[in-house]
Amino acid sequence: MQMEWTYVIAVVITGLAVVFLALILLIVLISLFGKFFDSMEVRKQKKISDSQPAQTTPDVQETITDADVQDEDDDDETVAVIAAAIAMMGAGEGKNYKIKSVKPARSKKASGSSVWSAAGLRENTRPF
Amino acid sequence: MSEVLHIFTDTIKDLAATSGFANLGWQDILMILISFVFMYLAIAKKFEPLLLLPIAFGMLLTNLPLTAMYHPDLFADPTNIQYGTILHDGGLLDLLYLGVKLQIFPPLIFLGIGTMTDFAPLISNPKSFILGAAAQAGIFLTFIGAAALGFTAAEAGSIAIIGGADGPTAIYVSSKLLGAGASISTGTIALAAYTYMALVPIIQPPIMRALTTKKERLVVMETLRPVSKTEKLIFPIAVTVIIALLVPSAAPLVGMLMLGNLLKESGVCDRLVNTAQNALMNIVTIFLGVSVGATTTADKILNWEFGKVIILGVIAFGVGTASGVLFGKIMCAATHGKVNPLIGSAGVSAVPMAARVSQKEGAKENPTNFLLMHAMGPNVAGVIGSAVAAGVLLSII
Repeated sequence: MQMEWTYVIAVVITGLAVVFLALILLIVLISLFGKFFDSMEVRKQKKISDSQPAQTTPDVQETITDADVQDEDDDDETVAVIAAAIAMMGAGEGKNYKIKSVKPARSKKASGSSVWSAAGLRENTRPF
Repeated sequence: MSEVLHIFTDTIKDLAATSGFANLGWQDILMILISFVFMYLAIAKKFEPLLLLPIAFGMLLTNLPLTAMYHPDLFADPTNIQYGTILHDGGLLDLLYLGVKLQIFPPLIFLGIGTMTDFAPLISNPKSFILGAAAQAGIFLTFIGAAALGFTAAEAGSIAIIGGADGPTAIYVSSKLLGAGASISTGTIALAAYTYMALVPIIQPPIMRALTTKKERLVVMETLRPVSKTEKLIFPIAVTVIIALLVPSAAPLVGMLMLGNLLKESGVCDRLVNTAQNALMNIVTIFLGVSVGATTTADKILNWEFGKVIILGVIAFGVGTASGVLFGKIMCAATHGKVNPLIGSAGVSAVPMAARVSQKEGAKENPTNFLLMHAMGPNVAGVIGSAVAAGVLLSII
């Protein structure tokens, strides 16, 4: 049986309105949560930095394995891997390299140029 | 001796008369050939094989004469199904189809999907919900098209939900709305939905390129903020409460999706997550696929209505993609160029295919533009959006 057009329009308007309303409610809720947790994180970081004494810049290290890692996460394993790779490179060239500091590259733009990003990009678009 | 021969020949004649060969009509042969085509698409072309292959095989089983595996007349009146009769007289596929008719299988599929979904891109950028909502316009505008072509409200709602690009949701809605008296079946809807989901990489790109400028496609979006574990735990609970209170008929789908996600994010239910992602998903997928395929009898496929469903299905996908991209352009303008409109097309809930298409189209303009995680936000928002749209259609119709 052919539907009446008033019914059809009512279904479309109601459906769109309810879907948008539901998802806008979720936007508001999730945004509020996000702001709340961000402010909690900022307060936590402030507490940590206030309780720690001021540190002087460390001296240049003599050995390759003792690099100065300027990273909040302090990933020793990553530093060890980097140090080993540099040591191998230096051995191949007959040179001794010293690592003075290790810090992550911070970029405001999406990091699409790193090797890992390129590898991830290739992996995710492989079916195409 | 002659009597033995007489009995032998009579028996052979009876067997021949009651065999499938004697009862094979041209419609059955055609449907069997069509099932072969879908099996080819699933196996050779890898069109959503996990579901399309069981659906195609269910189509084959139901169209082989006299197998008595599926009886459409048992499900003729959706408001008065005689479950005792089905249990007593039904075939294997009748019993498996009960899982679809009783709305058990699609929510269980969503449970598994929830354990495999990461909502972090959505939590870190909640504005993606708008793109997920915008893409659902394909559902409601297709409803208008279906109405114009003479379908009933139940049929139009079932066809329209194809635009949500979500197989379990399409099966959930159509199994509830359609009876045996309808000109289309749940199997028709599922076939169209899964075929078009596999064609997302072909359907979407021309629409995306037509509706965006080169400058817009080149937009590089800021890195997403990190999301804490607490937020990931609160998200599924909050979404379930909000959506279930607002649209109670969407609760089974959204609730199970969020349960799966909460099990994963809690980190204390690894065994359950493992089961939901693997054994449970696989079992339900087989049962759902083969029983839905069984509903594709000749009278539901070999008619003009199936052709209209195919046309309306591609319209639904196209309109959903277009509305997502258009909303993406609006967001791009409103944020002064911080949002790449290409991620709007990912609001159709074909996860993660639609997000990959956004990534690929963005990478064509700028190979270093990594849009995938940004597109995952609208993509998973689309899953929630299509479930809400399904609930709305079920409530109204």
